Amino acid sequence: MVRIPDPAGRIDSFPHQLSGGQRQRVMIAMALAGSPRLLIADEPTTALDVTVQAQILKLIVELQKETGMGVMLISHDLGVIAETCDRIAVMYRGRVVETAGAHELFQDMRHPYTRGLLDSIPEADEDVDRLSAIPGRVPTLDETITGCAFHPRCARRGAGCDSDQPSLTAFAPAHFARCHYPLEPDA
Amino acid sequence: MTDAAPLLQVRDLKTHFTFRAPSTGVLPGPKRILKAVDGVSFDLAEGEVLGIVGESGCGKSTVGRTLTKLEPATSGEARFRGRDILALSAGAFRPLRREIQMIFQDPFASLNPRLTIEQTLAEPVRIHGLARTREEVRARIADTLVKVGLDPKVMTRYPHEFSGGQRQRIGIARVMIVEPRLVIADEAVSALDVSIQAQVLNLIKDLQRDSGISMLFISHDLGVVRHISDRVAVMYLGRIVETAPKAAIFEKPAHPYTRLLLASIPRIRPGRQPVADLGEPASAASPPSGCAFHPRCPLATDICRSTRPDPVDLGNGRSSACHHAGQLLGEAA
Repeated sequence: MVRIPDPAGRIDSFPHQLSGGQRQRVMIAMALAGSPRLLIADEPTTALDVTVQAQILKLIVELQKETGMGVMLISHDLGVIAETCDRIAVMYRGRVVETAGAHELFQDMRHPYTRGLLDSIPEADEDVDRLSAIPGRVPTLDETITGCAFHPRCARRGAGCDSDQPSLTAFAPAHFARCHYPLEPDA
Repeated sequence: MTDAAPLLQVRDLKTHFTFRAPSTGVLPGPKRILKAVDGVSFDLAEGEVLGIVGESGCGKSTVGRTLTKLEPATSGEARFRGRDILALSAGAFRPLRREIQMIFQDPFASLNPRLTIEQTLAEPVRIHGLARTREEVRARIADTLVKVGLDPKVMTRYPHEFSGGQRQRIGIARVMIVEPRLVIADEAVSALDVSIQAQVLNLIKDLQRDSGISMLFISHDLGVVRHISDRVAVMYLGRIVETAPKAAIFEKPAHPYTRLLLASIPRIRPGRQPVADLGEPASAASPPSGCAFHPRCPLATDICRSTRPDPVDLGNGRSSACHHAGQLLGEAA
């Protein structure tokens, strides 16, 4: 099921005799052995090289379609998420700050953190002279930040951002963001 | 690039490691040779940034470590301003250490936790005799900290008081403070969060432009390499398979491995064609015959299985070590 060649020969192999990609296929096989309804994959390809990553992601998508199970894919890599998922939730400091269908999120993002994250990534398909980095740094877990956790790094912060936690606002069916000053469409 | 002699000329560089294969009984296993770098040649011009990209185990880090003499070369030449640094003794190389500096991936592991930032940065200044008095040393440190975007007041603090991005700025300050001619950056931003990575990349790009230093930028991340490099070399199992100016390599790759790499990157914008399952890279300890990429290559023919291709000059500053490079470029045109 997880496309390991020569399964009868491989069944007696020990983990160190397998390549990184094959080991991850074995892990997926273990996760699927009980025919789960939900598969939670936490950075399943982060330790793999890009050519092998492409194969594992393809496998996860195919297995999801075959079995109809739900998949929750956790990743720091926006490209991995964009290609694999139907719906995306962006988290910052313990909260979901924006959630939408994959296509809608990248077409019509409303949270400044989502925008900042996307603009920070140097892509292999385009040349930009300067990356627009998010200023400041990722807060440590013991820091207390009142109001919106992103406000110290946010270019759009205004009155209320440092005192009131923004609530989830609907922008479209199934598209929500937590922001006092959300981006306009096509911003 | 200009007609001037390149700052660095690397010719047929080989770095091999000897290791013992796992024992199968009482006797130790047989000695084997891992050809981490197996015949790498390239030029680096003054002020140029050459990206070296490839997957784990392709030998890209070993190239960097050999050029800074952290690993002994097995054979080959590396002429820095005309002098073969591989042939120099440790003593004869010492004066060149100031000119050839390295930025490492893990800024925490490369900073001494028991030294303040001032002590860390004063060390290279003293060793290379770049300032005489305590005041001069301190002024140079303050100046460099400002250049890398840190407040000179942080001088009295210790590495653990800084975030990952700030630590990498300190690592960069330690390199820039001695005014090097050549910087070798090995996965310099790979340990950083994406929002911080962008800040540090912008900093490296600014410093490189302002000071005109040459740089070898080693990374597995094609997006990062495209952003920072003028020219890109792609490595596979110890050899450079393709070298080309940045735009050419990303728009019209002339080696099937470069094509596979580019096709494998998950894209945020839809439209990527799914790639075929072409297996995984072989180990550098037992590379395939002929072209090392042939077991994964959709274009492989008999000659690929028997004869190792040498890099062929394709004009316009690009070369490809592929028997079918002409065919590939013809298709793309």
